[in-house]
Amino acid sequence: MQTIKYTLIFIFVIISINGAHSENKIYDISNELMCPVCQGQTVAESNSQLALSMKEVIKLQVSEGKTKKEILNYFISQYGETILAKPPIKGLNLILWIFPPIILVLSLVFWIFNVRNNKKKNSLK
Amino acid sequence: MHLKLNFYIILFFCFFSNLSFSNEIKFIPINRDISLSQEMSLLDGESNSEIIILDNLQGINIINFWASWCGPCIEEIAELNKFQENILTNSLEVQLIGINIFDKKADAIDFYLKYKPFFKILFDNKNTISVKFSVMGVPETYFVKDNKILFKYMGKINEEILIRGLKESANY
Repeated sequence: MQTIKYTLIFIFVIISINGAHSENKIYDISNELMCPVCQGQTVAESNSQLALSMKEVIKLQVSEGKTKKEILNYFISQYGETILAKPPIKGLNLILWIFPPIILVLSLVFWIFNVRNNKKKNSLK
Repeated sequence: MHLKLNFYIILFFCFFSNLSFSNEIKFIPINRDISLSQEMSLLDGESNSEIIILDNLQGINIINFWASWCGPCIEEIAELNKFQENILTNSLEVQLIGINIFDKKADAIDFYLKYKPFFKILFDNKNTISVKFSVMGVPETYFVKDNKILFKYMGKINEEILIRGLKESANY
């Protein structure tokens, strides 16, 4: 009797962990996809009808045992690379990744240069 | 003076170039193979509608996606019915299918009973078919030939556009 009880508890725990893992995976993937009909919202954040359909497809593919990469590639094949929340670091997209730090560094250099110049001017006065 | 004149010339061209394009029928090219095995409900006005599998899209298929809450979908139903009548009277080699998406089944049935479309109307039980076709909204009409999505038309459709799409699909 005791053995059956512990076996049932064990099965319940395993099913719960598995379910939570799947839920996390679904959320993780839907957070990496943009909702094509929303403004700046990921599929995870959106409650639009299309986002709900996309979540259903993700759920289905997760239950079929597909990997995150396979599921993301499926959505890229359907909607193009713009569906990704984080654009891949290649081709023209490189500008998106490289430009902001360059601008930041240049602004910093410009600011330091300006501050030094002003200090020099003030000391000369 | 010159600058002002240039500005008016550009404005004039912008206005008339827009007018010349406004009457054009714009099909959005897709050119993608589609393999389906989708469980759908065949709407017949009853809640326990027949379950069918939508799989083989051989020949020319025109698939119209709609929802009961969508105004343009209601407006275009008469045009779709007219086109279906054309198919039947002239024995055109094309299948017109309406697929209800983003909707509740009860609302889809109400719509069916109210507007009486007499072409095949399906309800997406699994709520996933829109992603398979990459539908962005309703109404959208897809022209499919031999399991390949050729192009789509976004927005309210009419018989003229349907005939033009059918001709273009046949020539593909």
